[in-house]
Amino acid sequence: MFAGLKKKAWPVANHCILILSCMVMLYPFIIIFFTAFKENSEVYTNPVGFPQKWVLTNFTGAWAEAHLGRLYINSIIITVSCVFVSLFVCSLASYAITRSAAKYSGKVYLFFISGIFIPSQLSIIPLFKMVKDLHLNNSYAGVIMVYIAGAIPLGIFMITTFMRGLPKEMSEAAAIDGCGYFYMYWKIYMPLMGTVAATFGILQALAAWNDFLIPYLLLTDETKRTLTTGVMTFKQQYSSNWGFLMAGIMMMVIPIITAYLFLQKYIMKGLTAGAVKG
Amino acid sequence: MKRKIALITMMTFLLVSVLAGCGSTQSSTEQSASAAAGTLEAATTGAGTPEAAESTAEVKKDPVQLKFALWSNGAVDKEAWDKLAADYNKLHPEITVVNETFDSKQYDSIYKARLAGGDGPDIYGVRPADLDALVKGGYAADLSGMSWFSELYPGAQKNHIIDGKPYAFPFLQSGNGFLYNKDIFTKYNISEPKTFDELLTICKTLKENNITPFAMAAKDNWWPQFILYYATAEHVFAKDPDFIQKINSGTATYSGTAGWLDAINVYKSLLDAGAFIPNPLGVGFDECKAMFLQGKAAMFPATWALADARKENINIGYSNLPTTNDAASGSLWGGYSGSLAINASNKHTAEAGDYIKFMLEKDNYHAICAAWQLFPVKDGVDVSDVDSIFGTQQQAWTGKTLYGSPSDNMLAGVQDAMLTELQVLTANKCKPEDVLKKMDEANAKALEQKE
Amino acid sequence: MQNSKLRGHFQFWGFITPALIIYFLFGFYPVLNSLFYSFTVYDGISGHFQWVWFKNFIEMFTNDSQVLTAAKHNLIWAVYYIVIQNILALFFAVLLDRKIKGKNIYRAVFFLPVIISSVASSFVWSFILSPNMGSLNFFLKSIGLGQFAFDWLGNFDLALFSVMFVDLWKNIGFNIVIFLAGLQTIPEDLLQAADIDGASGVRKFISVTFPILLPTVGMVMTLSANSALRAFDTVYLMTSGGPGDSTVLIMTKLINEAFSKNRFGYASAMAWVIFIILLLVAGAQSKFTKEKEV
Repeated sequence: MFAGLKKKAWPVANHCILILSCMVMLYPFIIIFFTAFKENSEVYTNPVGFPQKWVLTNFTGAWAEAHLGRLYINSIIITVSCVFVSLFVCSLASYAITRSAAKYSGKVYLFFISGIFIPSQLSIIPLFKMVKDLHLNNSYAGVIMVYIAGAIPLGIFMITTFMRGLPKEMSEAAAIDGCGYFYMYWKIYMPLMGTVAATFGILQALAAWNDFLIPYLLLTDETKRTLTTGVMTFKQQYSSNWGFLMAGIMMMVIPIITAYLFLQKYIMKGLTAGAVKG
Repeated sequence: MKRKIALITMMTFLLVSVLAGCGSTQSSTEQSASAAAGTLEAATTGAGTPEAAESTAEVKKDPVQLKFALWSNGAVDKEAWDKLAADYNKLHPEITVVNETFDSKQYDSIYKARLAGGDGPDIYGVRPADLDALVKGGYAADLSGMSWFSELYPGAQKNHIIDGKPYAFPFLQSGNGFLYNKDIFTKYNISEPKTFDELLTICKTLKENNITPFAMAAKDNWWPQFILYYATAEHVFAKDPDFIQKINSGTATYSGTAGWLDAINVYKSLLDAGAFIPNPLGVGFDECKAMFLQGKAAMFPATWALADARKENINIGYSNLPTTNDAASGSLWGGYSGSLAINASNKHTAEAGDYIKFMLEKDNYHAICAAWQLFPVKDGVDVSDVDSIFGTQQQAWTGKTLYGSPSDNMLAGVQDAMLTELQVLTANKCKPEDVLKKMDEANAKALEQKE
Repeated sequence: MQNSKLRGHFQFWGFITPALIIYFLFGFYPVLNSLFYSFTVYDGISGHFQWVWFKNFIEMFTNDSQVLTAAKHNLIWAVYYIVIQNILALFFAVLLDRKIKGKNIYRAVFFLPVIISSVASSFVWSFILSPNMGSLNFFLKSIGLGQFAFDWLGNFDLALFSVMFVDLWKNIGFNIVIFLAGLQTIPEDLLQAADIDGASGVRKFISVTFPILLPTVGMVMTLSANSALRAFDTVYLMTSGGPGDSTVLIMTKLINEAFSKNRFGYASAMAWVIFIILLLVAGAQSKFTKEKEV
């Protein structure tokens, strides 16, 4: 008797817990939404409730003041370049490591992997100097290089693990067929990289899109700033324009959420495949 | 096979250099622009064409970009700086000034990282505590030779002297007091306080009527120190004007100077009297300002809310903030703020100096002071028309000796310790003596590191 | 024979070079540079430094109480991250693993905070947790629980936990998704066999599910430990280590030492100690899971 009741009660309890938790998860987004439509003065008098007066001025104002259009473009340029170049560079290196029988290849692999634990704040000043010495300061290339350098350890780790998992017979068969070094990389290993490339790519894209410290320090030109740093300017020390800030956050977050909703299946598949393989 | 490898390596090098190339658009366009200017100059000066004759008396210079970096006061000051830059560009078309303003908290890391990395601004706001290191690194130019320097008030000229030479100058000064909401004061029959006890009484009256006395909180740790500085002017510097030299050479301590304990106790008394916004450690500066602008707090302990207050049509009054019971006290917290330095390592010292000269010209300087709602540091610029309050302020300051913020000359780390411990004090988790103790520890450490 | 060996070398290095160059220039060399500075007293600006051997390291371990405070906070953070967040994540993953309607929607909602920037999450939560005008206290007061309307970010005893909560909100979705994937690899027949044997839900979990999940758990734990020691964004944006020192973390202290106190040498020394600790933790974890896997 009890078993039957349990069977019925469980799903309900399950849903209750989940719904409550989801409310906690979503509440901040609701706040962002409401505040973005309130005038800044109303934010202080009515911080919590529905907007008494719905305005669109926060969006237009934030867009204009932070030049959000340009910031979008900058963020996209940086993120996309970073993802593609690191994928290319990491896959090349991983392929070489996987195929090499030499002793030093293992050491090179470890050299790359140890970078996973480097905290970014460790090398900010020397990094800045390096970027400047190469005349890459205040350029997209500088920021992209820094991101790629940060992505390489994880990328090589993930892609090498994956490539090592591919059946040896495949490469052996191709070699017998007279497949060259580069050709094998390009035509055989690369096309198979789909899932791991997606996982890595998504992790990188997220990190690059959402980062604020590096662009803040390395991109001196206001016109080259990214979305995150641009939005931060609304929370100045002496005056905060919460309306603008929330509107800016909304505009920063909506493309990501939209992309996420569409690519959900692939993101989840990629993440979990990579994760479960350990 | 080998060819394929070579191809890959070449491709990647190519990729990197292309990215590098399209990155340094700045330097390459500068180079090509100057190259173009060079050829133009050759064409015109050689031929003696009418264009050459019409060009300015000085030799046509290469395009120069000056970078100006400073913390921001809100939004109004950015507009003023931009207008200044635009006006200068009209007079000197080959020089463009690019302004960057930052959140004050971020500014500290950013400007130092940029200077150290070799990409520092040409003119920049400098924190007095950093000046020593900046001079050592060659990032601050000697200003004594600049034509405009000698026009500044003697006090301003002497404000940042290292090894006998001035490496920075303050471009603003002000006495300090508080703004108050005249309507609230009238409603509850409050008149401006002349002694500290009167101030405490005012706080009590306001609290009884559910008005927050001071729009002061402690989440932004730089905010509470202002209360302290009102007090140090009267309790520390009035009695010992040479305190700064003593503390920075190790011959005095904070704990051993009675005035400092009095100053901290001024803060504590106000705190205990509930003069600040409830839950001060969780309330940020922006909320403080908002409360003042909505009439929920009666007094604002600084003068920079003026522009916003005018916008909200608040009836504003100004008063000095007494921290002693001596109504005839002749000391006041005030002094210079906003120090600028010129980057010596950027090799644009002359142009930067010229821009500062332009900035300090009568009408331009007036606009800057108006944007910052503070006073000029040289004669000949009358700002009393900026706001009716300016007249009241100047009157309130006549006959008073202004003493600056102790933090201007604190050794590295001392201010940090003070701000942190003030927060602990605000939470009632330590005693006033403990604040001074921590400051002394930091001071001792800094003296050690100076060797 | 020799020719192909040589060719092999050439091929390897040719392919490795791009990654090597970028990683070395922008990753490794700056780190080496900072190792050098960790043995100096250097203000980071003037270009003048003074070699002091191990003085910075000695000071860090014996003469800097703030380091101990920061380390304590990071430890608390690590425990919560590794244990509490993962237990919660596992709990939710188990709930979601059942055949319930709308599973994908729930999963999407949980993951949503992960994809937004820490700038966004920090500012919004600062707003919500604001003591006088924030939603949380407003809500508590309106349902009569006003005595619990604390100053979440301003109270010395609560601030750290408030920030950790915001971090949990932001990151738990990630762990949930990973655990969910792990759970879905558990063979159906094993679970059914346990059912037939009359095993209860909890028993099933302990004997069947968890052991298979172990490698995933292990990996998540390493990632968690790594994140915990490097926690920075949320604290930096919400409290900057305040009030007082109650939310100081090793990373925020590092930035503070380098940029506010101009003690770049000391900050570099701190960073290197952290780096080494992280390597040790990773090494220990990989050894641990290798043993368990047998």
